[in-house]
Amino acid sequence: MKEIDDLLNKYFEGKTTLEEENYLKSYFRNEEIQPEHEVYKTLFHVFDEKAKEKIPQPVDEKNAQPNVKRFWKLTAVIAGIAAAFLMIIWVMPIEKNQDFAIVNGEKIENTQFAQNYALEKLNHVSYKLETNLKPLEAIATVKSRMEPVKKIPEIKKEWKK
Amino acid sequence: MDAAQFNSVILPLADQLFRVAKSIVCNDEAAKDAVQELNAKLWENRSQLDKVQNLTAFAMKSMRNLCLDWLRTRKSDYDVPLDENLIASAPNPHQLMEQKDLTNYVKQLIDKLPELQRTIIHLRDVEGLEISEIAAITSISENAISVNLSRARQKLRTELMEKSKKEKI
Repeated sequence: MKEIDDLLNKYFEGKTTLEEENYLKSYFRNEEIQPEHEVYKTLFHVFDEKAKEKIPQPVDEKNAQPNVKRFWKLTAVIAGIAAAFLMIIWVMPIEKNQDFAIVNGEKIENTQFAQNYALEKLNHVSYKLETNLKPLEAIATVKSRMEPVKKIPEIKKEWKK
Repeated sequence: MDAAQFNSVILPLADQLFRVAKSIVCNDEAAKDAVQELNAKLWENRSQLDKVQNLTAFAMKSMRNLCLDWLRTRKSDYDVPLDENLIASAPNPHQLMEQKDLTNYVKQLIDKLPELQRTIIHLRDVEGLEISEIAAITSISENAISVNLSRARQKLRTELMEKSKKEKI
C-alpha cells in the first residue's frame, strides 16, 4: 500500500502523470480500499460522476403537460367514447323487440296481424297504382289516334304543288 | 467547414462543453445556455474553423472565455449563488461536518475553489487532459497550471483530512 500512499502524495502535489492518475482512479473504484484511504474515496467518486454528466435534453412539451390537463384530456376522450357507445345502443333496435310494428302510432306486437295489415296495405297501393294509371292509358290512345292529324300540313303542301 | 462536418465534429462536444461550462458557472441552466450560445457562434464562424488545428481545445477555450464573460456580466440573470456568492453562502466547516451526503460535500469543496483552480481540476481530473492541453485552453503557462493544480488538490486534501479528524473526535 506504500505504492498508493506515494502516488497519493504525488497526486496532491500535482506531479502525477495521467496514467498514474488513472491507476489511482481504478483503485478507488475498487471495493477493497485500505481504511486510511477511505477519506479520499469520495473525491475520486465525484470525479467519475462528473465525467459521466451529460447536457440536459430539452423537455418534450407534449409529455410535460401538467397532470391536471392530461387528466381532463383523458376524461374528455373517455366521455366521448362512452357517449358514442350509448348512442349506438340507443339507435340500434334490440333483438327481442324487433317483432312489432307501429300502426297509426300504436305498437302492434301480433306478428300475424302485422303481416296481414302490411299485405292489405300493399294490395291497396297496387290497386291505387293500377287505377291511377288508367287515365294515362287513355291519353296514350288519344295520342296514337292523333298521329294522322300531324300529316295534314304535308298533304296541304302537296295540294298546292 | 460544412454542415455535415459541423454536426460530426462540433455537436458531439456538447456534453464535454457543458461540463466545462458548469465547472465554471456552477449552474446547470447557465451552462446549457452557454453551450447553445457557443454552438451558435461557432456555426456563424464555421468558415474560419477549417484553420483551427485542435477543434476540441479551441471549443473548450472559447467555452471558458464565454463563461468568464458570463460570470462578469450576466450571472445576475440567473437566480443562483455563483462563484463569490457561492463561497459567501457556503456552509461553515461545522455545518459541513453535519452534512450526511459526503458527495455533495466534496462537490461544494470543489465549487468553493477559485475559478482558475476549479477549471484546472475539472480539465485534469474529470476530462483527463494533459497539462499542455489545459495550458492551451486557459492561456496560462504549463508551470502555472501545475502550481494551481497542486494548490487546488492540496486544499481539497486539507479539507477532507480536517473533516475526517473532526468526525473521529
